[in-house]
Amino acid sequence: MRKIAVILSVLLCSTAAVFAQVTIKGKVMDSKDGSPLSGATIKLKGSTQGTSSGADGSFFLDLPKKEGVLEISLVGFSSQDIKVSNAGALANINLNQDLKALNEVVVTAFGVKREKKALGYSVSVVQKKDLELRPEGDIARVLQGKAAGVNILNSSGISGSGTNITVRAVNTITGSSTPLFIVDGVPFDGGTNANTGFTYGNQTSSRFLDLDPNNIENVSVLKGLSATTIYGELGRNGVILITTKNGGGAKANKKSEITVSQSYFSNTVANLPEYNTKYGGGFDLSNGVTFFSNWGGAFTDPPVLVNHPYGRASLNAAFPEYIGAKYEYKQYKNSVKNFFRNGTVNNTSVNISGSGANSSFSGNFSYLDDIGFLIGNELKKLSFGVGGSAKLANNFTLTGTANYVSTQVKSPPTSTSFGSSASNASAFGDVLYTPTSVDLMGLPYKNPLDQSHVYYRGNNGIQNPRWTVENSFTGDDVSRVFGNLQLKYDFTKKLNLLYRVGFDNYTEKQLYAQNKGGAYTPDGIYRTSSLSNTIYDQTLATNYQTDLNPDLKLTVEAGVNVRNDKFEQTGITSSKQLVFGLLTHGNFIDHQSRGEDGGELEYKSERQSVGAFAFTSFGYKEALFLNVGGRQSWTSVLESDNNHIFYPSVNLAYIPTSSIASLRESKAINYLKFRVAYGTSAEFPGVYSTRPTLGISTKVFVDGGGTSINTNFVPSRLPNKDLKPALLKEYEFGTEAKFFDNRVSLDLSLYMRNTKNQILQRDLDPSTGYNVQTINAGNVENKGIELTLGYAIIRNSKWQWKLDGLFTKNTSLVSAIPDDLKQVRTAGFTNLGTFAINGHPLGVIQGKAFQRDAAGKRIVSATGDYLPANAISILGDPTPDYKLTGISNLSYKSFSFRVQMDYTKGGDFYSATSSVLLGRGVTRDTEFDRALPYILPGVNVDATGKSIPNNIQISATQAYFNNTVAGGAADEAGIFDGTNIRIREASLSYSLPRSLLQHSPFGAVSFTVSGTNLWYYAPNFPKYVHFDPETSGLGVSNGRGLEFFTGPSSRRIGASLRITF
Amino acid sequence: MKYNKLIILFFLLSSLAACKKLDSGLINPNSVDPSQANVDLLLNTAQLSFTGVYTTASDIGGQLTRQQIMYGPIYNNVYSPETFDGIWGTAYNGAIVNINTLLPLALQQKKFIQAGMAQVLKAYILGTLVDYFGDIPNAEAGLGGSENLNPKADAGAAVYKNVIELLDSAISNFGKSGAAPGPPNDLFYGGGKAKWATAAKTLQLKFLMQTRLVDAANVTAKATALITANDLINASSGNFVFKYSTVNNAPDSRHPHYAANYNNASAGSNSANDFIGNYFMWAIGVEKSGSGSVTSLDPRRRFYFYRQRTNFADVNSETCTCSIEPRPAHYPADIPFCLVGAGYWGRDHGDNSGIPPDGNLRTTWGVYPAAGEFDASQGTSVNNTRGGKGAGIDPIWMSFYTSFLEAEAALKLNITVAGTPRALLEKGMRGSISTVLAFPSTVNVIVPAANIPSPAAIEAYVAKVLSNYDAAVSDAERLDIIMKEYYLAAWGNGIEAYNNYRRTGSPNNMQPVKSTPNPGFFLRSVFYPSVYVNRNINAPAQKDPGNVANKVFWDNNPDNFIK
Repeated sequence: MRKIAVILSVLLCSTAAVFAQVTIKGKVMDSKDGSPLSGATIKLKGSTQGTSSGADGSFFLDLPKKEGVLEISLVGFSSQDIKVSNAGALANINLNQDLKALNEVVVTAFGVKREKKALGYSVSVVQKKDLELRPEGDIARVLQGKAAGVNILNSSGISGSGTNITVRAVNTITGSSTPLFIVDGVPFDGGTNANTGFTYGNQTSSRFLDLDPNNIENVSVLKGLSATTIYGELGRNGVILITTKNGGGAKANKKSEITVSQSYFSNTVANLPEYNTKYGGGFDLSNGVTFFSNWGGAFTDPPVLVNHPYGRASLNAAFPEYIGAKYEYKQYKNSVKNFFRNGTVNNTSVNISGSGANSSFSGNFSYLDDIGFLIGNELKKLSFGVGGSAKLANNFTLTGTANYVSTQVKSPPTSTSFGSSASNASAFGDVLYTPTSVDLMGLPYKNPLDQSHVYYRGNNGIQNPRWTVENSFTGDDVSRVFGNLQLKYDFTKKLNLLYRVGFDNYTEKQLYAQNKGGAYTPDGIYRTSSLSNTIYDQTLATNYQTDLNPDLKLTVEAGVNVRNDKFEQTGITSSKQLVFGLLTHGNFIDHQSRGEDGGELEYKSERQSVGAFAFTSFGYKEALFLNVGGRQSWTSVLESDNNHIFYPSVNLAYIPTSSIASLRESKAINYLKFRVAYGTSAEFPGVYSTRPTLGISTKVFVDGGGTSINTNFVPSRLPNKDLKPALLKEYEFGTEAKFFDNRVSLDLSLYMRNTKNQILQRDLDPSTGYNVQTINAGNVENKGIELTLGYAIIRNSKWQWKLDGLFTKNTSLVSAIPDDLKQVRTAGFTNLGTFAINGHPLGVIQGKAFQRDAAGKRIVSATGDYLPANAISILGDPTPDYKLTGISNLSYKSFSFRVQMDYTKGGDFYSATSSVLLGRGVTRDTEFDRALPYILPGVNVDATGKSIPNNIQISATQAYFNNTVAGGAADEAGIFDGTNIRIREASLSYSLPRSLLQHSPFGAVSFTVSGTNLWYYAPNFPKYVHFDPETSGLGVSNGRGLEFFTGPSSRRIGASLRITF
Repeated sequence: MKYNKLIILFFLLSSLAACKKLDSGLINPNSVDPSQANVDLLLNTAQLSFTGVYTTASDIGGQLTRQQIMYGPIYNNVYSPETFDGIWGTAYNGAIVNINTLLPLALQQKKFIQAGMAQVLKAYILGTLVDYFGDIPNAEAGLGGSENLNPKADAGAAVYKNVIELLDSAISNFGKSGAAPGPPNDLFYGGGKAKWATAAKTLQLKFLMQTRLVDAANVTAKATALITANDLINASSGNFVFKYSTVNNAPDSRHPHYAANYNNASAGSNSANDFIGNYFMWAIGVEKSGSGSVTSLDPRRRFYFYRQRTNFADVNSETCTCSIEPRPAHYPADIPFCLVGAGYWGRDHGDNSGIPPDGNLRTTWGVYPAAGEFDASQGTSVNNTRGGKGAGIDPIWMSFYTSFLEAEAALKLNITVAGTPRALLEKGMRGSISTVLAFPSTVNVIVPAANIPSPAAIEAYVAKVLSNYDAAVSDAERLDIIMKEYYLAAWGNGIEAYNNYRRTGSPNNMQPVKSTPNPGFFLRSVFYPSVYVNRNINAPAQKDPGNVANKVFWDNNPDNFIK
């Protein structure tokens, strides 16, 4: 029998050899840059004969005769047909990239590649070319505007500062809205470990900063719950699925390649106010050079000479030269501008990849040095990692990645300010409203005797900003190791089992310090804390795929997942510096375990969640796909009766263009898909909410005898032993289509998400004895539209021009807040912040409004000023009406030019910067004739309650100052419409033609000039303030639309070179 | 081979299963079990919270009665509901819930002294909350672990009744035999249950007298009994005060007004934060002399205030904006405006104009009671090494308050057991002066011999007030003289100043609001805190102060009684 087989095969082979008459050669390349394309399928039409291209793009195909047509296809490219006889064309097959390829592949939870068309939910994919060589080292900031429904908000322009990221919308009233980061299949902590509240500033980095945008292969954003159910309850805020170049793994048969890129950018303040040129510091036209405000007299030529602000008695010993000296009362131009420096961003990145027959490997190295525009601000990031995959002979496949990153951020603190000095030391707190007659950059800023700060104000009460940036520090130093190891066993081609362990551990050392001699913490402060966060995630899963019959495919994924999270922090705060300048705890006299805001620095928590899941997918005739699944989760944070929840999901995709014959051939409609999904997810509360504890505090007070007074107390949190998990539900409908020879593409999602019976931090009336309790209550309904439209205007071998538009709109509605709560504060201050109120959108801004009469006119009090209301009320909704992004990609031969513009319509914004700069009279907005009396538009209400037009004359100073900056003025004066438009990014790249590189060692060389935040315009803010509303004074939180001197945004322009060899 | 694979699988599965039992994650490793609560340590929380309540209430009262500065200018907008969130939280969340938690434990452990102290503190807090807010939660408040998340308000009168009962219960606890040792930390008396019992009785007199307008018969009977028994704070040794220390950091344990006004020094900034009311400095330094200028008639002047400048050479349009403004037309001729004289640099009531750069020029808190610097006409700036370094006191109840209260009782209720109104007025003045003059030495401040008021000077002051008293033609005038002296003696205690002003209308020549003659109704009570109104379904509707008088239950005076 065996012999016969051997003979037969020999015969057959020799027969084949006999009939083989021609060998067709060819080479497949990318039409864009001529780089070879491996893995392209070359198939003789109407036969089973075919091959695929090798690493250098070339292929050989033996055919019986030189006849017929070859179809060359490759995922991500448009197919081409070429006649076998056309040898010239075959030698240079240029495939055009199909940016929205029909058969896009999406990697799902366990590395399983699934065609996008089979999914019943929306996925936005951002490819590496839109992530690499960007001036921002923060992956979230790079993602800005690149996926519909993904909202990114910088907390400030400080390099390394925290970033808010929300997918679709904030769904939770008091919980976290940060999405789940999955890097190479395992969870990655994206939290922001702020040691203190936002009133100390927003410098604390968000930990996704540790990812290197240059090492990312692609980012998929899973928005709907139907997509995220499998990732567990932490996926309820969306999943940012990141595949790194190391984790991309098994791209077998790709030749070894080294890519080196080097970028250099400038980092400057995007825009500063235009300052008043006619009036200087003072009040009511007096030449008061030592005033906070700029309501002084008009400048004269020659300038009036006033007493030198440093001639005051308390500085006589330090500055004898100013005793009796005179000071020119004039505009000191560019005081503020010169306070900032030109920062630079320097980024080096090396990627190495290669593969063998059954294995692949890659490694990367990257270094980022981002020097901020603020003196003292710098971000340094060093990362390296390796990854690989090996298919072993015994049906095991081993893949893994290991990464190390060291991220260091330092910055002066940027604490909140309302325009009369900041709440704590702050680089921006006073600098933006420096009176124009103050020579910020010319006056000495340190006392030569003791290095303490000196400034113009008589009591030295304003901490000199120049002293602050030199002597005030925050620091954030992270060492992080993360990676995964996965072992897969293929029982058969249809069935496999995998075990995967993911590990993410970092230690983050933070510091807050100021040398002695400031106006804040005059004796000096030094706080260091060290925290470690570990995620240990294990999954055992099985995948089964089979064709039940020729038309019906079945896929099953099922498994168990165990995730452990452990957080530990310790720290110490020292005060009373002994010797100026040295920041060591030993150089401070007093030490305590609490932070500068009084919170205990030592804290630990541990939580565990276990999930069992199963997902089944039926595919019928490549046209109808039904996906059904669910997950049962258990948690360690709830009492055993309530510590589990089941949440299912189901979705359906239907592709008429695959099933209806008339559509299949249509030229007008190339692709059409409808999808509908129902998804659920769950939320577990924070740790330790169910059981009572006893509060302990030591050394709360020291009495006259030197005895430390220690305390026990009932903690302010009332435990809730009946707390249950919350269930989130979402309906999603979408359509994806391509029209007119694939020129026009559309991806539309409509969703409605209802997060009922949330896990809510319910504020309690302190008369209960407590302040807060976690309860199950409150609904948030989010409805929204996400639309991506693409139009390839020009598509030929030389010119390509494509426009993409992204549209995002979301509206929310809060309900079912318990009757006994009028509102729930979601972020900010108790009297100026964002709130959840029944019947209103989530996160409306509340603060003090102007009192108005029955006709809605502002009431002016007997003193001529607006009367502020005495209780807070809704001032606005910070949610924009919609957001629009327009991207233009234009390429000509080896040149390509990309521009991204973002437009945000509406959304109310409280801007302390804008109202204070007006109220302090420091910008050109208030350059009018100040000698005239002013009558505020409004009404006086007489004793009978009748309104009469206001006729009380006041000075310009009073009109502006008393109604904006002055204590008790209505917050409404700081509310503006946040509409803004900006050029987010623009880049021009040039790739060297391959012909030039043929005899060089280089595979590809490209050069790019690019910039971010190149221009913006916010028309409804005061004209000369040049305020950029894309900022958040609340740091990383659920609050939007408030700002308390957060500082200007950053603009980055530079160039990058990338070489592959 | 196959078996090997199964073994590997088995190990993988078992490593998954090797997760800890989920329940163990429920115990918070950062704190301990409530069963470990310690009565003495809970009492410490109550004592410190009490001080917090006192400080806030005293400052609000002091601002409204011109001892300190109120910016305003419209009474409706002086404060907002959020202003009172802090005191509400400190009272209930800091003091009352902990007191309610410790009381049963203390009684069970026979820690009767601790129980009594806790009851005295709670009584004072509850009474003060009623004085400021009106009706407040009590019976349903701070129950500890209760499911009642919306405590109902009790009528002010009912809370006052409970205050008296609490003090009765405290007195009984102090008298119990077989008590466990008292607390290791008594921040008021440093130990001594007799003094606490005396304080409890004195506070009963205080709260009774507060209600004399609405409950005269009952008050007369009970006050007579208390005054007759005479176990009251009558001597400075029994003064009910909270004592601060000089520890300026980690934690700052100094008098809050010292910390706020003397602490910017190491930056070379030498700057005071607070303004003292021009009216109050004028009433001490100028009013009685009749000369219109500052004199040393009141022996307490240099003890109460510290001047960073002893003249007005620094006054100009920048440092003192009101100096170039005309005197408001609605200011009576004999009321101070803008500048008091002799470097007394304060601010007028209801002046909301911008703050000038005058931090190193303002007159600030002196040696009594904040343990600041004694004013020996140094005329130099403050810094954090000066004076008593902040080891001051909260003058919660001083012996001379008792005398003035007894004087009022004698005059208005004819309770003359302790003496005539005139004699009690004199006793009060002498008590205040001697306490204030003796104070510097208790906080290590040496008063230069030249600046120690002579006995003759003290006699001159007492004689001046008594001659005014003798010249008075009505009880109303006499009461005003008594209450004016009480007001002047109550420096550092805005609670009594505010309560007395609403009860008696004295002092009757208070400086009007500067910026407008029509500031609205004086605050006869303050806003309910926003945390109360917004988080408690049973809370009353928010008040409309300034537009409505909003009187508390013991105040039946006319709406426009005081300004």
